[in-house]
Amino acid sequence: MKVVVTGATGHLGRSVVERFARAGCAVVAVSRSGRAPEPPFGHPALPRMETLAVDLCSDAAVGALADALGPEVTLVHLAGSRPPGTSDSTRAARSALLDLDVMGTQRALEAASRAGVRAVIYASSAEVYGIPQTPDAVSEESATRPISDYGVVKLSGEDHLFAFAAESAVRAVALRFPAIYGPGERVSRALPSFLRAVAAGRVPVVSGDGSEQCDQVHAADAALAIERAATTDASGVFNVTDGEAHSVRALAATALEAAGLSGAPEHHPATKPCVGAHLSIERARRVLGFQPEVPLAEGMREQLAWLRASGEATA
Amino acid sequence: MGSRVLVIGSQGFVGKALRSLLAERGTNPVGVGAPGTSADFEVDLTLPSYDPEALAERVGAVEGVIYLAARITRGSCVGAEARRNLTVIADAAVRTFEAFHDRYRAHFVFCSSIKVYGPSEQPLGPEVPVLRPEPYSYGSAKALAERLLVTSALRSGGQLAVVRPSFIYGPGQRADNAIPIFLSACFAGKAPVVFGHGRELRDDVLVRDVAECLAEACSRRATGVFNATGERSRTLFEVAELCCRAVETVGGPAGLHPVLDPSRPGKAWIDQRFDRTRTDAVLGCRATPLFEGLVEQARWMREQAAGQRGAAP
Repeated sequence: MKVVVTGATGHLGRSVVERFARAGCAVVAVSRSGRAPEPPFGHPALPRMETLAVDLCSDAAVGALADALGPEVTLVHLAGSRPPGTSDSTRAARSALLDLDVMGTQRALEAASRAGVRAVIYASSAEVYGIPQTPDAVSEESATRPISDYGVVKLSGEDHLFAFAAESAVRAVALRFPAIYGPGERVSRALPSFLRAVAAGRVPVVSGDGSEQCDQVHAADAALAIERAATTDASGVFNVTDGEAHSVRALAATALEAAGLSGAPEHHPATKPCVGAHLSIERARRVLGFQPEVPLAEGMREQLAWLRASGEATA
Repeated sequence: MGSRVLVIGSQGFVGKALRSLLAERGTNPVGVGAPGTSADFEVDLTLPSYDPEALAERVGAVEGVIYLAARITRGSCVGAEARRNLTVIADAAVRTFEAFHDRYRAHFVFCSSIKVYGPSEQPLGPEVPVLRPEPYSYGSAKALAERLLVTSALRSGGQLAVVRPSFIYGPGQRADNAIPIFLSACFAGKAPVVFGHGRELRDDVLVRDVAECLAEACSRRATGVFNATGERSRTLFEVAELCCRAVETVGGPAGLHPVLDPSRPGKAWIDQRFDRTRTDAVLGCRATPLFEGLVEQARWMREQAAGQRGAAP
């Protein structure tokens, strides 16, 4: 099987490239820089793979990407300008999202339309749901009312994906991920900031009472779901998390445990309303045969080890 | 002196009807159209260099902005044409909303489309969130625009109404749409031909009714979503039959009935029905019965044809 991965040097991209490469697939790692993705922390060097420099913000990307695609190729489209769960969008940030996540997705799909592909797997986000309307776990049928520009552009990417799929009769899968954690995560959000705190011997600081839901998935499990989506004949939308409900408070407690620290997280007054949703992954389990493999405590210990080894703990 | 309202996309089918209606009501419409359209302000919204702040400065203070600008394309849902649609319909709209809110606190009315709704057994009301739009770039672009406007309004506190028209017909409509094609056939004394089985449900709304919803949403500074749809959905065959009766009513050929051509596939309508209760209650609008609107359009087409014959050497 040949797989072309956009966003290959990103946090998720590296795990995805690794998984397909080790499974013996021919992998083309596409990124703006054209650099080879580093293997995830603690993993041996990746088998040989092709790299391709493509800037999806430019129309020239269409031809360049189309040359790497073909009717037997699976396109895994991960390229995006911001990981979920990070700070509120500004107008400038929105402009970057429109350039890469909307227009870039359009260009990737135009390339797929031009060259033909076996399937397209798209990394969407749990932010497409917005504020859940009921306390139940959010299923793929739940209403999508995004309140962040990130959720908006990811949902638009899904629209274009399924429009393309209908027009070109190509199998398409959108996977809705919550925050993706694991070694190599450099964004500023709750879980990595808790780990940075405990790595420095401090207790994590939680905004508000920390009772809101905060789903997680380890990059290796996200990559596993992508592999399942690429190798089954499923199509449509799937939620992908580690399958557990976590509150922000529980993440902070797990960070303390991972570092072997005693004590309790500090709570500071919330500066903005905390909203969170817990997603159901029953459809991914049933249709994709997806079973998450990395429990949160183990994944956080691994991320803490990476933080310490990489010197990022003090950054 | 009446209030000043900016109409972006002022030279199109809906834009012309809206400008007339606003002027009738004593509002001063200021138009923005593409280059070469003779609008008050000619701006190319397809360019990433479109600068809404500069436009706001040139236009001056307005109470409201009604955004209609769109490109109707029927090509591929991916490609350069689709991306231009996204730029005009979504990116330019949200930036215009912000520029006129920042400078003038202008109320913003966005003309969306029922094409943002997905398939549904139930009548679709404005409380239904944007579902999976139909697989053309137009619906996807309108859906993106609506969602971007919502997140922007959450940040800025800007006031925003979204109006979702169904298929818009009426005097001034382009000839290559179902209703003008049916009416033209009847005027030529030929039975209008309906492809496929003709049982697909569709909802048609008169252009003046859409203009009225937009104008009311603007003048009342209404917020939220409004369906600007017709009195009810009908099958395509029923619409064709009413076209026959409308032509007869304005003195055209009588006794015609539509015929089916099952050998050619009908268009894949999504068989939707719509709930416009909120539109009627909040905006005080009423849908013109389809037959009345078709008679108006038939009369207009006859006058156009007579004008062309009169103008011929």
